[in-house]
Amino acid sequence: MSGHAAVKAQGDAAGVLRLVGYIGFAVALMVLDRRFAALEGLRSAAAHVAEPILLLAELPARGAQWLRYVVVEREQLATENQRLKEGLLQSQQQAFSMRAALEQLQRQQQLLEAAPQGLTGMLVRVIEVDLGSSRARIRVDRGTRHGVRIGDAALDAFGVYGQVIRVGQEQAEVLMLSDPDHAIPVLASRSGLRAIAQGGGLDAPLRIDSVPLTADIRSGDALIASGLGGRFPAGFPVGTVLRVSRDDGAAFLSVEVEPAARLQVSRELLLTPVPLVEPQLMEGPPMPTPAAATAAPPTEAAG
Amino acid sequence: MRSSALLFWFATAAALLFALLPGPGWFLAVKPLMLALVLIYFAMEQPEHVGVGTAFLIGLCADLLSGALLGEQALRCAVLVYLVLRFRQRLRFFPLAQQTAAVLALLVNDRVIALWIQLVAGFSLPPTSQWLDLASSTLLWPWLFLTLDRLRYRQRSSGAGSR
Repeated sequence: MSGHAAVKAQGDAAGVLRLVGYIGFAVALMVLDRRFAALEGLRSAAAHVAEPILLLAELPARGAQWLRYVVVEREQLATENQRLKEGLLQSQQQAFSMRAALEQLQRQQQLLEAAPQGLTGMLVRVIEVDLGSSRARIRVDRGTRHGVRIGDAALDAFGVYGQVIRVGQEQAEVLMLSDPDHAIPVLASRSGLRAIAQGGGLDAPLRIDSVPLTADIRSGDALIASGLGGRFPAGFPVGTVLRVSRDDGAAFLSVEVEPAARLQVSRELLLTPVPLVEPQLMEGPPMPTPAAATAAPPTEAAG
Repeated sequence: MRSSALLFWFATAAALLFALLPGPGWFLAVKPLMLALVLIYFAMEQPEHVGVGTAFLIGLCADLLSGALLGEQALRCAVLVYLVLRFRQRLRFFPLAQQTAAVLALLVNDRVIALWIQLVAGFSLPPTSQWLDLASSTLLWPWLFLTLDRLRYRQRSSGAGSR
């Protein structure tokens, strides 16, 4: 009897040891993944298997969407169509002004004999799967095979949507503006104030912290991407200021921003390659980039 | 034996796909934790199919599919299955109501681990509505238990007495 108990206890100890081993392994994986991003190789290998599975998981949603189009009333479709046309018109206007700027940039690049860049955007579809709520992420149906790169800006018809944080062969992952890890340099178009808008979490407004008390910003101000850092196209709408609050004793204003992009609704996005507008085209003091200055003398000519 | 393994892998695959299923916000808020329930069931009823290592690998698959922090669900699944295997004899012979309460306790433990991981990893914590899925999972447990039991017995009776 006691022998049996001893054997059982030994088995328990071995079980606990094994569990501790697995926990250690999992913690190591998490640290490698979070702190060092060392597992992208494993991820891209797994992506070959995962990508078709994600498409399979999306099938019911697409079926429901199809059903909705079959069943939904004409009128609703007509109003939606009208709204979309207006959105298209707006974005075409933006597109024209962008194209003018791009052509100018391309001419300058030709003058400087710089390598030509693919400066067109790529229309991608959002794959409707639930990726869990730990971060505000979505997946889209284009990957490295189509030329998507990490850092590409994602735009929807109404404004900046987010940026590409991970790319597989056929799919890519986009971090939304509203993720707490996401930050974007913005410019208040009325006052010219520069700031950095940070995500506040899914369904929550963006936040701008550390705005000086004397700064000229009020609710209703439109914020656009400033283009600093060269990641997001300058001039694209980011959002409007919802509320400016001043806590007692606080040295800074806290600003809440309603994103312009329809983060939960948009199902088609435009991915644009990383350096759309170089920072030196923006007004203001030059960025301290000694490496770029020594490596590329054309930067002087561009300014 | 082989057909019961088939049922386990089929249920696991279905649970993995179910986790990816999109829907309106309220649906995502109450979406049951199917993978955890399936693992609890098979660890309890057929421990020959699901050990701590298997659970770890299945959790890793879930992590890779959702693109979340690699290792998070692996750890949670391993701990969950370990606890079920540890208390298996008691869990199996609980009446269904008591067993359901035990499942809720397991899921709460699982959620605490998940929140702890997210806190340490520096992610923002999900909203409080996140606890609704535990309620729906618990409510689903008796149905899932009886359904899987029935499927298993049907298999056994048609399985030419392989066991």
